[in-house]
Amino acid sequence: MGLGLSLPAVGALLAACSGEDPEATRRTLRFVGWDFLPDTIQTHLDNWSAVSGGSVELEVLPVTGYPAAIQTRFRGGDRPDLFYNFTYLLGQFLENGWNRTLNDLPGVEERIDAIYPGARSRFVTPDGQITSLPYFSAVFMNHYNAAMVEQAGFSGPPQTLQEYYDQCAKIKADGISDAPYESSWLNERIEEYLMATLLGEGITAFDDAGQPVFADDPRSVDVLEWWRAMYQDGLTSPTILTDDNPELIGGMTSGTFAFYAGHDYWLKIFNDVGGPAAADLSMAPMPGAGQTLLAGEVVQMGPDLEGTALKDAWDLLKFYTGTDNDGNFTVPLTWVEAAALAVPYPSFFDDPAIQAAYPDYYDLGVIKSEYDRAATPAARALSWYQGFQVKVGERVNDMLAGDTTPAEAVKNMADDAVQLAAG
Amino acid sequence: MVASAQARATVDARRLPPAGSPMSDRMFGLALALPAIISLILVVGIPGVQTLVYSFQRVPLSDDPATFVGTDNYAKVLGDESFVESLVVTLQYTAGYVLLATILGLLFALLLDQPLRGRGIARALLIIPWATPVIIAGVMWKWLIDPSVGGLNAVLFELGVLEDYKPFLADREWALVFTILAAGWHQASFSALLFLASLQTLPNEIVEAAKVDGATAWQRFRGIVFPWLRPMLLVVVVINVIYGVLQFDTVWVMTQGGPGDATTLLPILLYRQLFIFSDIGAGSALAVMLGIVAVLVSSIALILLGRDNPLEA
Repeated sequence: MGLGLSLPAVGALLAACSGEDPEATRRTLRFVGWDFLPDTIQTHLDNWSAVSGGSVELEVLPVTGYPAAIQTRFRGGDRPDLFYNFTYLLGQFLENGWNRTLNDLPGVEERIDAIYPGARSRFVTPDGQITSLPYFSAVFMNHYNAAMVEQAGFSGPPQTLQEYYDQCAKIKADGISDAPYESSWLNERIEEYLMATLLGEGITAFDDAGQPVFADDPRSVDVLEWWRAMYQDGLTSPTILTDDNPELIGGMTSGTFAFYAGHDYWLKIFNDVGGPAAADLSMAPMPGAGQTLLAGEVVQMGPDLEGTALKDAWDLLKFYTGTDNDGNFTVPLTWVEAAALAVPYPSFFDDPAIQAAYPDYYDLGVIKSEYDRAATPAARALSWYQGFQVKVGERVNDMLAGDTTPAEAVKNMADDAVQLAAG
Repeated sequence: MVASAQARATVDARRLPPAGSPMSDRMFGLALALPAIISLILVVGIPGVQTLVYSFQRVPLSDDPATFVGTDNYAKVLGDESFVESLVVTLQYTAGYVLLATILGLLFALLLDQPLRGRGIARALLIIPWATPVIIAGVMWKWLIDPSVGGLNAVLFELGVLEDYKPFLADREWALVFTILAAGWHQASFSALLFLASLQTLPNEIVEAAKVDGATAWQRFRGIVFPWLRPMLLVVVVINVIYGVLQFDTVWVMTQGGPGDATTLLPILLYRQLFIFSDIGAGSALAVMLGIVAVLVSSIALILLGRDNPLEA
């Protein structure tokens, strides 16, 4: 990609020209992340320190409860220099001045321009403020048990929602699986599945201003009709509303479920865990001719940086979220090796080292084409959106329980979004 | 040397209030309790007052000053239909949790107070559920009742209790029942430890005398053991009420409040208000109301259990 700049060198040069003493504003940076491979994080930070001459301290928080912990810290005045963050918190952090925008930093535009267009809204607000760079990204894919699909007489995974229903019904009727379809429809995760399904059907969920427009499209009701039919006709895991990662991993690798819709890194998890059905698992694009959902989390810069500390932080941020000074995806490569996590740059998938790092059972051509058609609704990074995620969970649950119709659920969700956006 | 020590002791004795003075006892007690009092003020008192203040304010997340809004936050919380639903679920949950954790704890304690073989090991094992992190306990129970891989369904099926494997957590009523079971099981061992400690102080002579007088096991329990345990029962129930009203972790791990809002307890609603809707004012109002619920329910328990102890009479 060649986006890496030797910031310490440039910074030192600029400082020398201006007469500023770089060491005067240099300090140890504070980096806060969550507990995924903390030793690897520390190694990356040590490597950066060795090359740049800067210093950085790592603080690792449990990923469970991280949103609450990081919000509480900022609210209490504890402001790290670099930190992991969830996409749905971006708007809130920006509104409260808890992160530094990156627009004035050298080379940031090139870096943003190199990101997949479908991922851009995660890092740039509609009014052009650059808030973050990618920690990792993933596209929604349809994981399926190829042996079960074949046993039921199908030549391949479903291409449409109707085919999805039909395949699940046939697999169940043939006694191949009692619960063909699994997802993680926990209250606050349902929204992600809703967005993925709406996008797959080519439905625009929110306009550029963040207003819900999915209710204006009659196909939104069809999508929820499909959800209800899948659930009420017994084609899903019976505990799909409370299933979490252990249930879906166990169910897919043991051959209990035939399908799982979720992020593309799950295929590696299934294979790493192993099990009698693990070798039969494969993945295909989500049904529907529209788009697929591109998700992922970010790294942000704290608001209290200046001088050499700012230059160091920017250098570290680039190193951590993309290429190093030699143009290598040093940090992202380790996430691929460990968990098949990607970063949303087309050049990432073209990099020979990255291609070699993906397991053989990954079809990178398919994943890359999914990134090409992927989208991230800009509303997902707005400050009120997290509340909308809770509301979607409530509304879909009410519908699945038979308390409301799909049409009412769509209307209620749109009303919720308008109300939340209005504050 | 000796004379000097005697003189010093005389001076020290003069400085102290006369032995047996109520004032000296009070001051001594206060001195002992002071570290705990200071700690409580710092970690409970000040945040508690701050929460109360926030509940009457609109509190921005930024450094902007908070503004007084009167009872708006309370009106907002009370006007939200999910609050009433959650309050009902919380009261149901607390009732089940307190009953289970207390009765099961009492049974454990009575059993382990008997002169059984292996009692020492059994007592040591009693600590395990309580020492298990609540998150782990929740995951464990979730797997235990899973319809695909959990053992409970298989046992109930083999016993003929179930006609088919049942996805308990998919059912709104059963989800509440099993989250109560998981958390109650965890807390029962703590209750048992407290009851057991109390049973250890029961003079054996009283029980033996009752036996000599021909009292049956039930009569001994009703007339001696239970009255002896009542002060501890009061403590256990109050602790369990507070833990029950404030339950979060186990339920969050097992259902995240679902399916639907079947297990959405007030603390889950509070978490959402504070960290998802980012409304510190409304969240604080909810926290105050949660505190009031805990105090009210505990008070009811105190009133019901604290009167007419025949042993004291």
